[in-house]
Amino acid sequence: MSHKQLPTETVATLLRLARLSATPEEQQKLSADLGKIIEYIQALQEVNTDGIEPTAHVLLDRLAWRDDILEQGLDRSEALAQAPRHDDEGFRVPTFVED
Amino acid sequence: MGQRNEIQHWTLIEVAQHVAAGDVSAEEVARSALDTIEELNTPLGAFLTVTADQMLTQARAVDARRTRGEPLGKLAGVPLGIKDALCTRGVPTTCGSKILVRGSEPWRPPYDATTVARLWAEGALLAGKCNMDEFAMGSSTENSAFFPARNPADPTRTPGGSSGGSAVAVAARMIPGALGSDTGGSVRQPAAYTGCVGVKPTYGRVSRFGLIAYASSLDVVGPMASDVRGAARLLEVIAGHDPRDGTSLDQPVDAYEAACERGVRGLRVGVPEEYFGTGLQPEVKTQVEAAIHLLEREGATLVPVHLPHTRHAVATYYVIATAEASSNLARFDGVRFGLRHEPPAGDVTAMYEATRGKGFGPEVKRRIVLGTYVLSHGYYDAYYRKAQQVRTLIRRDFDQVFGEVDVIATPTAPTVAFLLGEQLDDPLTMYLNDVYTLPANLAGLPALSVPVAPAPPSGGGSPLPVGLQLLGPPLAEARLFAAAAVVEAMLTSRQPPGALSPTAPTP
Repeated sequence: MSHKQLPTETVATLLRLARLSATPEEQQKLSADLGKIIEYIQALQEVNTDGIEPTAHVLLDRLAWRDDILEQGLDRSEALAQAPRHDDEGFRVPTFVED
Repeated sequence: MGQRNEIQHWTLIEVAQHVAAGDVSAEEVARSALDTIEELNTPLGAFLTVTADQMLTQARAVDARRTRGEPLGKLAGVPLGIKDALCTRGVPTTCGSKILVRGSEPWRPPYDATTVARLWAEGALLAGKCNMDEFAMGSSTENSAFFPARNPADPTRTPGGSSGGSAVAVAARMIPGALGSDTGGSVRQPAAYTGCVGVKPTYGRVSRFGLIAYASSLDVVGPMASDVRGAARLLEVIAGHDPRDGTSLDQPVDAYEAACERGVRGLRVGVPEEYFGTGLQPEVKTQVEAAIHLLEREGATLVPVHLPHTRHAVATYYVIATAEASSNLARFDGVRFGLRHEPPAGDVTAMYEATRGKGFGPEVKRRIVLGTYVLSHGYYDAYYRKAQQVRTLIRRDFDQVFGEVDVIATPTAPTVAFLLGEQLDDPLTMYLNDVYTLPANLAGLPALSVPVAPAPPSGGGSPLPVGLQLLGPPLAEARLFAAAAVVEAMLTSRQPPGALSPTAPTP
């Protein structure tokens, strides 16, 4: 049985949304794999869920809020220490706003 | 050599007892573990990092406390493996991914996960960080970005996953216990495939502070051990409220180890027909049913039950888990830690894309893209919302059944361990390994896997480990330990296969 592929344009859009680069070979493989997986999860449509509330999270109703008290967090130099690029004050990234 | 073999065969509780009694020093225990790891880690791929120096330092601290007559913790001198998804202060933590390695330097977290800190507070020793499928995505540990782990019972087979390294280290007797994480079966399935005990606690029972997130509505940290009581003791130590994890429950922790003495007289055990049908390997079915009948012989009552939405669990899981993963993994962007690739003259978006494209492996990319798809405009209702509604139906099935029974007994996995490479090119077949373990995550329930008598693979051959899965209602872990201890006691006389265990002659 041959499986439906996810169109390569759709894969390209999803990769862009997810900020992922992929080689043409990877894109081909994703198109085939995802086509097959999406066909499989399609079976959920058979289930009658009229009037059924969605579950986003279990046990949330039992959780307590913590008190809003200021605590000592991670030291800045420690937080910055393993960043690929940083200066004394923060993380450094390539330009994303025109000067 | 003789003493090493003896130490390596002690259970976690025996190690703690012998150290407390002064029969052996914590340092001797640590050296014995290191010798065994040295011998077996290359062939089996259990550890990504072995922390010999840290283990010896921790061991000497335990010995010093003992010399001074200070009280020792419940895990004093016990060497443990920690899945590489859990943060360990100053110790390499990669989550099985190259995106957390820059050049040859792995990320070293500036803090310990709460679960890990609790182990140290009880005197445990860090043997190392255990191999895993990248970002816990996989069922065979073949998705590790570094090297696959191999099953000690048959090294041509996988140990399962994603906590495969933790399972291998315990099953091969390198260490008596370990921590894993379980999002869809990642503690229980490798425990079943390798012949050790693996526990997925109730959602929220154990802190996740310092666990690198995969799917936040499903992830839990769970213990693995060579015996039921060892797993119970580990859970007692790591369970409980943590102010640093807003999803951790503020409920008292039961005496799990004591519950192991309780027996099963009067326990109502539900046996769901849907877990014993097509897809279950006959040889596995035989051994699992035999173990369930042992429970009956010890005084439990068997009750046939139905969980009709089970067949939708795999599809439901792969929508919900990938949607959550696509969001959680956004933090790996080359800015704060780990890998960064900057294409020449590129902007920040090009940096994100290049970093993530080079840093993530194929299964992680597949799941991020699938998650992005099910959350995208136009598909959200059809997939994500629909899956959340089916999740409600799966939960209701369990609510209904737990009105009639105390625990549910099923196989942990549909087959014995499969061969390395057998399912690697077919992600969907790989996903179906988890058909019996996913529902507990979707419903937030506690579940454990305990070894039963081994079974041969379907084509014939030497018997391989098989797991019985026990599930309970929320916070009923004690009940699961009581039943698991009975199964273990009945089967103790039969040695689990372990061709590469330290006592067996290596081929």
